[in-house]
Amino acid sequence: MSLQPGALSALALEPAELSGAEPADLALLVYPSLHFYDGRGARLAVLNEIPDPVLKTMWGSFAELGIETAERLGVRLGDVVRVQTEAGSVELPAFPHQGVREGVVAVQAGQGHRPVDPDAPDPDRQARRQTIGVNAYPLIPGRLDAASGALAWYSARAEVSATGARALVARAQIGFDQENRGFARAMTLAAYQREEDPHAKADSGHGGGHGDGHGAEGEDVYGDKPLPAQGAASHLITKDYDPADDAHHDSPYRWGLNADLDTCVGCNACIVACAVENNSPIVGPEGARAGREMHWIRVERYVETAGVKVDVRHAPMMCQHCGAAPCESVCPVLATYHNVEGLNVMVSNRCIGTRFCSNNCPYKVRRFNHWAYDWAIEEPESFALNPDVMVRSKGVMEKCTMCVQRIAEGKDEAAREGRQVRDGDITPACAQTCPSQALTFGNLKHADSHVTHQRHDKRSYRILEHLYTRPGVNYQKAILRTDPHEA
Amino acid sequence: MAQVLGILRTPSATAGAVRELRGAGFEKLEVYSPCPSHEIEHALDRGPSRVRIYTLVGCLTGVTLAYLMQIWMAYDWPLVIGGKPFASIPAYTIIGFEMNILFGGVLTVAGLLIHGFFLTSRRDHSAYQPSFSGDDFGCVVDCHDDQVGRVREILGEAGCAEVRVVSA
Amino acid sequence: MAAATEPLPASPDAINDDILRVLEPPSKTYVLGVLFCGALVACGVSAFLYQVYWGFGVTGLNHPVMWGLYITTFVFWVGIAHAGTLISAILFLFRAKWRNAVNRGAEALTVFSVLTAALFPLLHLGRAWKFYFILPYPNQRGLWVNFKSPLLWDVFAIGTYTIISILFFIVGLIPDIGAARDRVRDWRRHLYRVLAMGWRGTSEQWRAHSRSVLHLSGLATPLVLSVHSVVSWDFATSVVPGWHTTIFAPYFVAGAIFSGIAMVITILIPVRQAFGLQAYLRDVHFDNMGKLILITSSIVGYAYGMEYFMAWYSANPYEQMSFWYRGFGHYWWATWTMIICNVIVPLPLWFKRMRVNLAFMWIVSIFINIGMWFERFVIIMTSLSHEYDPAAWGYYFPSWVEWTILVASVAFVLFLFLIFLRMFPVIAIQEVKELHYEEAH
Repeated sequence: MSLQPGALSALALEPAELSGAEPADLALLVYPSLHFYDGRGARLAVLNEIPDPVLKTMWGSFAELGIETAERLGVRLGDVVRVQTEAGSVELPAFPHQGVREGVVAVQAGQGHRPVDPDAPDPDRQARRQTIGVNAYPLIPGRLDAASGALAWYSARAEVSATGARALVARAQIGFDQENRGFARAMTLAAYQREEDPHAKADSGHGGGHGDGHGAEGEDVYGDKPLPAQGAASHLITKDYDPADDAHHDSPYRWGLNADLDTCVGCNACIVACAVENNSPIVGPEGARAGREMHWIRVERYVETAGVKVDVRHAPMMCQHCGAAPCESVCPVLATYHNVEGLNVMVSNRCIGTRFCSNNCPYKVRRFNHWAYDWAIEEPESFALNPDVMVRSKGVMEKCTMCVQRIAEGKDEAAREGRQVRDGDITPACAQTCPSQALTFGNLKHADSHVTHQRHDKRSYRILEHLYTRPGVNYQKAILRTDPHEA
Repeated sequence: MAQVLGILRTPSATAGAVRELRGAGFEKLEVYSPCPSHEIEHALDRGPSRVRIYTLVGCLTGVTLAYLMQIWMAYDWPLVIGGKPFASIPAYTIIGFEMNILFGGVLTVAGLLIHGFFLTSRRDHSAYQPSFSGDDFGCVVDCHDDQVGRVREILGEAGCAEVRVVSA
Repeated sequence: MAAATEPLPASPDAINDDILRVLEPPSKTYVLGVLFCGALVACGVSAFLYQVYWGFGVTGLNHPVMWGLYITTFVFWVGIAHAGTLISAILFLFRAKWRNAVNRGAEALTVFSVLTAALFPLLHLGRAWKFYFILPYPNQRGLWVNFKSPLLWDVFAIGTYTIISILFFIVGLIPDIGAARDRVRDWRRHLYRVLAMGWRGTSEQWRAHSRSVLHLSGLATPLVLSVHSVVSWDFATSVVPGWHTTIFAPYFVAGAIFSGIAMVITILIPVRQAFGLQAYLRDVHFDNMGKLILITSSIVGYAYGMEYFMAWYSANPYEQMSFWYRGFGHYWWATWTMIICNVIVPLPLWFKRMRVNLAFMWIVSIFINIGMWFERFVIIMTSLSHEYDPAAWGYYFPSWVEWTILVASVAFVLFLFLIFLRMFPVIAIQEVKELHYEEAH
């Protein structure tokens, strides 16, 4: 339900008066962070370690600049800049990106707390030991807004200048171009409303329908031209399969997950829920800069540009619980295998750390314990751990289990009541916390379950399916309200 | 019984001496040489070494054992791996091949030890001298005491640099 | 075939003296060399213990590049280990007589390289202290191992290759140990007496010995071709773009022989100069090894080109991106080092004048060693850092721990080779002698 253009004009707000040394200086925009809001969440290491929904940065504050503005200033990503207003100044790394209007410098609020325990011995709890990011509040002159009587947040111009220093930026995702690979797909509303039956179409290589939806081919928009097939290499699909076959024939369940890209807003709440549920260690700023964050789920952000319109898509990415998993066949010690309910199981206790499974995972969702993170946990913080999930030692691999502990609990509950698990009995942490209900969990063997219906929907597709990994996670395309080509 | 040693300088001369001795009916021969020689081997004409049986048995054992081990272990605790059959014969061929080579090689060396060392170690090697690992070839003949003269004669004619009776 | 100015061994007995002279009490330089290598090995061991204590965070490995310098170096040493068996077994079956002088040194290099190579998969394990999980031994968990995994094929292939190359080496060494026992007068004669196991060169012994060498050669020939094929399948059986290709097995085997011969040249030229073995390691040997380098360099160069052609021809966008990244991405410097060292630098060897110029050959062989190390680095790093998911692209650079262990592995091979030089004849006496008699015949 989008706001109609022009609806806001009725409010007839006065344009803000900005104070500042030079009119050529940039307008300063201090805005509340999604993770810390005004700063109340900044002490939580888990919140520091989730990537920012737009920048995909972790641990720190950044001066966001428009691409052209940054070029004019001669500032590259990671250059430490000084942001100076009449009220004060801060130094922080610059992050030019296309999501900021030119002529503006934007800084998130809520960071830069002084360390509460500078001598904390434990390297994993950086939030206690050192100052993370910078506090942007001193930049605001402190005038009141005439209309509301509250602090005028947007009231100053700032001079931005490079200091010559460089800073390492911890980034969870570097590029936002999905290179036509069909990770986050979309279709136009018009195409959806035409209600074409995807199964009636003769797709190249698809061996005939048996009820497994392959999505509406030919309706996607990539860059400035529509491609005949979804994903650049989907012409390589040669085999068809039924996900129900990926569980033992005696098992009533084949667990599956569905991610609806149309409702996913990329807020990253699933990452927090997953980390807390599954005792994921915090790797700290150094670990995050080295690319060793331990999240079992991530939200990939892709930007498709068509004409002047920008189309931003988010795809949650977790273990796909493949029916023919590439990771399983390469493990020499059987530390990962396919269980009777269709889950790709990781036995970290058996793992010796060859790390071949991660290399061979096309989705790159396996996480390796580079350090012994769990050593840092002692009473009383250990009580915050989920007792149903083990902590992992150094040198072993781990990954999404589809919250196997909750599946076990759900099955026990059902067994006590003498029935099978029903739809909705079990919800993994990510799906439970998702504010837009973009994630759904269920039994793919059940013809009437929510996930089965979603899998047969015409928006449905699987990522990298041409590799014949037989993924258990289904995706649904986002809907574009307008056709970017007509813009 | 007497033992006569003739010292020769080349493999061909040694082979000639062996042929002469065998022609004269002396079959209890021992030849020491610093390097292998096909000529001497042909002259002695003792047939191919038994080591080849060991190699064959080793290879067949290895490949059979490898397949049996892999298939049995796959079914002993069956786990679905990458959607493949429990016993994936094409994948098992590699370890089958490697164990074929491993067992073949190890048994070949076992055959060498048995036939080259253990079964021959009880023989009397008092005739051996260090120059046999240098450039001398030794030809030792076991004969009756009354044949020593005849043996010395043959060895001398064959071009021995030195002929002596080692034990009488 | 040898040039007229080259010295020739005077007599079969002189062969013993010349070659066994190497075993005489060592010089100060030699002792210092051994100590220096030993010190570097100690540094490597310390770095490994440091890594075991703290975890893999001390390396440069990250997400998504989970294999780094250790696997690169593993493949590098396995490749080096191929030269010895090629020269001893394959050229033996082909009756290439010139191999007799170089085969002992090459076999020793094989044994030491494969022992070094076998360490790397172990020290690259996240939990190196659980390495025995990879062996199919009966245990209380009742769990076996995954015979479908290429890593398990590696265990069997490398294990078999280690055992067979050691056996081959020892079998060839026994008659020479017998010769050493009859010549050496210091404390080592007791050692040689035990090791010679009563070798006297009887016809029965030679008969069993020749047959064993023949059979071991017959077994080692397919083995040596299989080992690097299996190592290549560590990569080729995966789904990773840039790895998943059928060209890998022949490409890796050719590369292995290429790098192995280069390393043999790197080691034998100083040995020849230092111990006055000019009469044994003659122009013909370096000429022939130069030709082997040429042909394998051409195969490797063809494979490089063919990889790019197939990436383009396959119309597979993942392959295309992977190979574009290989040539022009973050690791362009490694890729072009590889191509220059392996394809361009050996080109002058088309001229015989350059093949018998030992100083030039030695420098070329060093370049090839570096280039072949970079080949494995390029294959592993460029493919892993640019896989399917654009949101999970990354970059890897080795840490000081990994560099230390790489240097220590070179020192370890040199250390073992130096010890070997003084303990056992570096040239196969009996085979050189056999050749001498055949030529005289």
